[in-house]
Amino acid sequence: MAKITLNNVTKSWGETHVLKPMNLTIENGEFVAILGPSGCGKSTTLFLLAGLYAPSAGEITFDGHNVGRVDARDRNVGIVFQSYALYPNLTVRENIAFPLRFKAMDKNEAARRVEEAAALVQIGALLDRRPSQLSGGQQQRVALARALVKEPNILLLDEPLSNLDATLRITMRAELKAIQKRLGFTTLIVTHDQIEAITMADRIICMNNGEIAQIGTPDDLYRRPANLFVAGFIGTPPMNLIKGEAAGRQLRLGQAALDLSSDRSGSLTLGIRPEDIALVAADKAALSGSITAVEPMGREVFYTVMTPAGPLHALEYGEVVRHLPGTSVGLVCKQELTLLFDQDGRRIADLHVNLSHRADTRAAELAPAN
Amino acid sequence: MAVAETHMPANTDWARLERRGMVNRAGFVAFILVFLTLVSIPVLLPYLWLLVKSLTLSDDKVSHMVLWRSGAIVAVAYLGALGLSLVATRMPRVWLAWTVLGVAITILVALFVAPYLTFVNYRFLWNSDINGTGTNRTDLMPSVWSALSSSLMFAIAQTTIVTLVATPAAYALSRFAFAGRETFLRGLLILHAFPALALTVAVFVQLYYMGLLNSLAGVVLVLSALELPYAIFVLKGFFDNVPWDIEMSAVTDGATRAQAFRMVVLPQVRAGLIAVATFTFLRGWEEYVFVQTLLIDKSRMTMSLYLFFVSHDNMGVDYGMVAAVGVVYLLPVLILYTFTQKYITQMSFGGIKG
Ligand SMILES: Nc1ncnc2c1ncn2[C@@H]1O[C@H](COP(=O)(O)OP(=O)(O)OP(=O)(O)O)[C@@H](O)[C@H]1O
Ligand SMILES: [Mg+2]
Repeated sequence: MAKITLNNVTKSWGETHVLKPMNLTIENGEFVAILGPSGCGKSTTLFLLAGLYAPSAGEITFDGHNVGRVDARDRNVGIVFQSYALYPNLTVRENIAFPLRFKAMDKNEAARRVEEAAALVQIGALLDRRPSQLSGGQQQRVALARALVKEPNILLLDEPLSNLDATLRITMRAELKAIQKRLGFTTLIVTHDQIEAITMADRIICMNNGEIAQIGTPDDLYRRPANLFVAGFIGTPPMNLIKGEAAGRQLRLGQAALDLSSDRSGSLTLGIRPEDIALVAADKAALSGSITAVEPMGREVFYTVMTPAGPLHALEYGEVVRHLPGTSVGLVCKQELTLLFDQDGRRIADLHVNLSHRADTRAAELAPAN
Repeated sequence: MAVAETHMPANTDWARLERRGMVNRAGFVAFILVFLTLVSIPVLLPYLWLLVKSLTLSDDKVSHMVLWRSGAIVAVAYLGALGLSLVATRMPRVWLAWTVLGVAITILVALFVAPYLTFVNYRFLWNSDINGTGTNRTDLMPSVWSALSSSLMFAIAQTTIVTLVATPAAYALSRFAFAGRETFLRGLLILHAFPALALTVAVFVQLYYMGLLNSLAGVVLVLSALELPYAIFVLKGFFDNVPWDIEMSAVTDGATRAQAFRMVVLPQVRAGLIAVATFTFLRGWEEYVFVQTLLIDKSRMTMSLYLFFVSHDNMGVDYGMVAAVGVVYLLPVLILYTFTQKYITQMSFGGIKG
């Protein structure tokens, strides 16, 4: 239960600059996910907070106190390592009780707390086993119980669900979130899994190459990505991104030209999510093409459409394949859902392209220009 | 149908193929057994000779006969045990069969070998006047017990020093990056590769100036120094296998670095420590060259020197007694191994990791 701030924190090993200057505030009791590709510095950030690494520059504060010189053991941080890092020579009970050994605590009180933490993650029946006698999911719960038992101010989770099967992962996701809300620790979770981040976290930090690409609510990252990296990284299947040239009101994309919502010049990248594209009759849309691949994926169908602007992906909900390969279709999308990024990859707010249904186009033309 | 026939002719003789498979498998097992047996014979024969010789009088004819007979009995016991273990899984009361074999061997020994055995060769254990000539070499010859205790002290001291120094050194090498770490590791390897005998003279002179010549402590220090590189190297491999996460987890749980080492890391390298300690102990126990050179006046004797002494008698060598001393020399090693072999088999060597 602490508010965390990072002021221009960097980390480098010799010439390898792993973290570029990083600024960040995490509110008391917030659940924040760190998302990013492998090697972007997620674990490094956690270890800096835990005090296992010393920052090369900058300051880290907990509740306004600079903790730069505070040892890891005194920070009262609970951490679940990606590998769980259970002590193989100790039983589950001893593992969970381990952090309490270093606190002046009555034996009965300690035993009670261990039972409590074990009950919280539902491993009460396994207390006398060794870690090697547990399944991956059970080990993960033990690691969580060990992190929770000392009632930490901050809970750090490094890909804690990565080794679990899909079903268990969904259960643990819900359990973790419930526990966090109930006990109110400030929590940071590192994950590779976007769904995990989106479903659990209040806010998501998207990192790339040792830098924060964007911080925001799941909706911010999904609907209003700050830059091309976030746009491409968040969402599966990934966003369609097409490079083009703008001149005046027109955006040239390959052989196609689309109308812009306002004047612009220079290189632009258009981004549209596959699930935002609707397939209509070819003559009803500004952009059309022929379907080259159809992949039914259960509750949705994934189409690849070859258009004059390049190949585009579209996702249609429903189990029925409504268009066959070779068919010509038109692609339409709500104007506000089309995103445009400038030369440096930053999103330009309030700039869109017109990909509406033909009927709407006329309506737009008739409306007074502002 | 036509396709299937190209793969599997209709007239396949399955019974023949089955027989061939069984013959092949049996042949493989037989080959392994014969090979291992042949390899073991030259290794084990000297020990049989030692045991038999130490228990018979120095009459050549008798001792030859006993040697042949016990060889035959060992062969019978070996073949019996082999046969039994091959059919053990298919037999109802296996323990009964083992008991029968045990009893049969005991009877064979009692009938054909036991009448010729004697403990006379072991007289040095209770009587240091080993030649029975009144005064002969008693002044020169310390009792075997003092030699045994010297050897024991020597080996234990060396083991203690080596493990106490090697453990923190190996841990530091495994965990902390510092300038010259690579070089240090390579250095360790080279030090271990050098023939230690080349150092005898240098060590002799050095100990002379340090005033440690003729003292067991001096030899212990020298041998510890020689054994250290190897011990550090092996232990480092064990420490490398302890995940960094686990240690860091202990630190965030509130342990100091020292507590984390003691409570979490050390228990995980226990097998390595025991293996290294055992090998160091054995090196100390068998050491001959350095004790021979550095303990000049032989007032303190280790078992290796004692054995040498017994076998160099100007009145003619008493092979029976040499063998008996050899058996006494071997016994502690055997005992040590039975307790520690479980850990030693876990020992493995990692490469140099950066
Ligand atoms: N001790 C170190 N010395 C040098 N470079 C390091 C060290 N530890 C990490 N790095 C580098 O720092 C970068 C970030 O590492 P980090 O472990 O934080 O990645 P990550 O985002 O957690 O990746 P993953 O998702 O694969 O776990 C990597 O490029 C890594 O090679
Ligand atoms: Mg990581």
